[in-house]
Order: sequence, then C-alpha cells, then structure tokens
Amino acid sequence: MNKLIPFFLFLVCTNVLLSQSSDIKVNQPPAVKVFQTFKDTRVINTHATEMLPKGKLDFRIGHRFGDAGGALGGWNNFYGLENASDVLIGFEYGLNDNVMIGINRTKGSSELRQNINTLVKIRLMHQEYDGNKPFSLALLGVTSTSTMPGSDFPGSLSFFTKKAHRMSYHLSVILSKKISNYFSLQVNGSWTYRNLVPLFIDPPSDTNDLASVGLAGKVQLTKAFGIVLDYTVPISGLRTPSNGYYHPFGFGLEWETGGGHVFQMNFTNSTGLSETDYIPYTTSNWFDGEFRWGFTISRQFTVR
Amino acid sequence: MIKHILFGLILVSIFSCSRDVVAEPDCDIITPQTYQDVKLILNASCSYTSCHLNNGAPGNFDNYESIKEFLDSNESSFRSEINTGDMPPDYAEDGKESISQVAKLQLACWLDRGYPEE
Repeated sequence: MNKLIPFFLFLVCTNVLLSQSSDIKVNQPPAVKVFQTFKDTRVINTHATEMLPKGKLDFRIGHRFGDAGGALGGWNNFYGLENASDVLIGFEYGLNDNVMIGINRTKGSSELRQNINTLVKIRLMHQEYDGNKPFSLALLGVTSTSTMPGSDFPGSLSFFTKKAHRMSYHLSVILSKKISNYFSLQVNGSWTYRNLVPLFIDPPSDTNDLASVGLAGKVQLTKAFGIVLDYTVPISGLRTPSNGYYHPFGFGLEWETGGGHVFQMNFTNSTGLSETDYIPYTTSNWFDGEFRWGFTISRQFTVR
Repeated sequence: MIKHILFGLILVSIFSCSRDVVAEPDCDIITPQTYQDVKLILNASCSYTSCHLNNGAPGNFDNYESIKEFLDSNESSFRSEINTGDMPPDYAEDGKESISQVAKLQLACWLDRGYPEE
C-alpha cells in the first residue's frame, strides 16, 4: 500500500491543477510571470521547473560521452569522445503552459538497456515578479521500461522473470526560485522505484525504494554566458563510495548564441540520462577522472 | 483529454508494480571459482593483443595482479559489460568467443567471492 501513496498524491495534485483554470478571475490584470529561471526544461541531469509552452513540440537528442580519464578514458578513446555512455532521442510536447508530456528512448548505461521512458511534468505554481507567488513548483513523473532481450543469466538484472521487472518509476517535486537576473536556485525531493533491484552478497541487497534530494543552480555571469550546477544525493546507506557508488554531480557552461538558441556544454560523472538510471546507478567518480562531456540538442516546433 | 492521459499513465504505473530482488545464483554448485579457473574464460574472450592485454584496452587480464587492480576500481562496470554481452565487442579479432551463460555464472561467482587467486 505504501508504494501507492505517491501516486495518489500525484493524482490529487493533478486534479488541483486541472481545476484551477476555471477559477481564474478574468477581471484582474495578469501577473507578470518570471521568465527563464533556467533556460531549458533540464538543468543538466535533473528536470527544471521550466515547461514547454502550449502546442510546442520539442525534439531532443541528449548525449553523454565516455569517461574522459581514469581506467576507461584517456588517449585510447580520445578522452571518452569516441564512446557513448548514454544517448537519448525523444519528443516532448506542451499540452498547455503548465503540463507537458514526453517520450524518449535511452541507450541506458546500467544493466537495463534499450529503455523507453515516458514523462509527465506539471507546474503547480509559477513564480511572479510581484512576490505573490515567490517560487515555482512542479511535479515530475517518469516511467522507464527496458526493451532489451532478457538475459538467461540468473544473477543479472536483465534476467526478467516478470514483464514488470523491466520497469522503473520516478516521481519528483521540484521547487525553484529566480532570486535575481544573475542567480537561480532549485531544490527537489525525489522517489525512484525499481521493480527489480540488484542482489549484493555483501553489502545487503539493494532496496526497491530510493529517495533522493537534488540541488541545482544557475549563475548568469554576463547577458550571454552562465554557469549551471546540478547535484543529486541518493538517500541510501548502500550508496557510498566504499560500495562503489558516487553522487551525480555536473556543471555546465551556457552561451546564448542569439535568436533564443542556447548552447550548453556540460560535464558530469553520471553516465545515464534517465532519472531511473543515473540516480541509482552512478558508479563513476570525478576524482578518478571518471567524468564525461555531455550535450543536448533541442529543436522546438509549433504544433497546434 | 489531459486528465485521461494522466489517469491512464497512473493506472498503468500502479498495475505494473512489483517488488523483487534479483535471484541469487547458486554459487555452491559452481565449483571452479579461482582466477586459475576463470583465466580460461578470460583468455578465450578478453586477453588478446589490442584488447585486455599489453594495454590495448584498460587492464591486463592475463595475470592476477593486473586484473585484481582493475577490478578493485571497476568491478561494477566489469559485471555490467559481461552481463549485457557488450564484451567481447563485435569487432573483436577472429576466434575470440562470446562469453557463454555458464561462463558468466562462473565469473559472477568468482566476483562474489572477492575474486580470489587460488
């Protein structure tokens, strides 16, 4: 029963949002909404509270190269640029200015590969300049389904004895604030649920539920150039460096190149692109050179 | 329509839930579990010129000290590469075998035992 509680919360919040539209007073001047707390619907790994406008279709390609250094990087593979840790290809669409949906495929960087991910993101509150709404609040729901052939190796995570073993879920509450034109801050609390988790002899086996908190920020240094940071901490005694797990941390450099286009170059130790991948399964350590270059290509089309 | 999509996603998510841990391989019945045993597998599939030998790829798998050093920091990715069948790669030199399921089980049990030499 406990595992259903987040879904019911999600359901309640959804109904609150969808019933809001009829309650808006038409005789009041519209408040001025804060623009671009972040410049994309993602910071680096984590989702931002930014949404696609109604009727916008976003075609996205995300890429994470291989380890730049460490045992698996270096000159052999041109510092990771000849490898792909993960690749995402997908579409996202703004149903209205506060609800967006998406579907994408990721290569996958953990044992679960060939993943089809769906997402729903709902903005419950949009920060306004006059202070009536001091921050933005969004809910994110993600499902991930591995479509890889099942392994016949019993110790493997891809040894699927049920179809449900292919699936994982992620739910996140995201709160952000554009503090000034130069600084934005975001925190999130998340819950990731995997139907099947790895077995460990020592330490004890993994847990299906995994809570995490995230912190992200943007520092706009000039009108065109900014730095973004993204840090996620899984709350799990298992996920410690002594067990081979590291907290996903990334930073990115953003240039606005004109015409609303933003070029972001990011570096992160996490290999996966989906929340159900990089939160439970980041085993790369920045201090061992196990970080990689990543980028996203995003192109938006108007479809009404 | 938005409500229907959201309700649909929520229902699918709820009814496709399970709560399981990967079944434990029965290592008690896998008798050979030292480096000397798995070396045959590694030689057949991994240790050859331009790959895990003589620094062609990370780690020399033809001697215990080297593969232990590699596994001390890369055990997780080693397991993953074998389980997913990514290694040996498609472009491996002729004659190099993919790793059989029995061999995968032997390697897993060897890793679970802390990859002993003897």
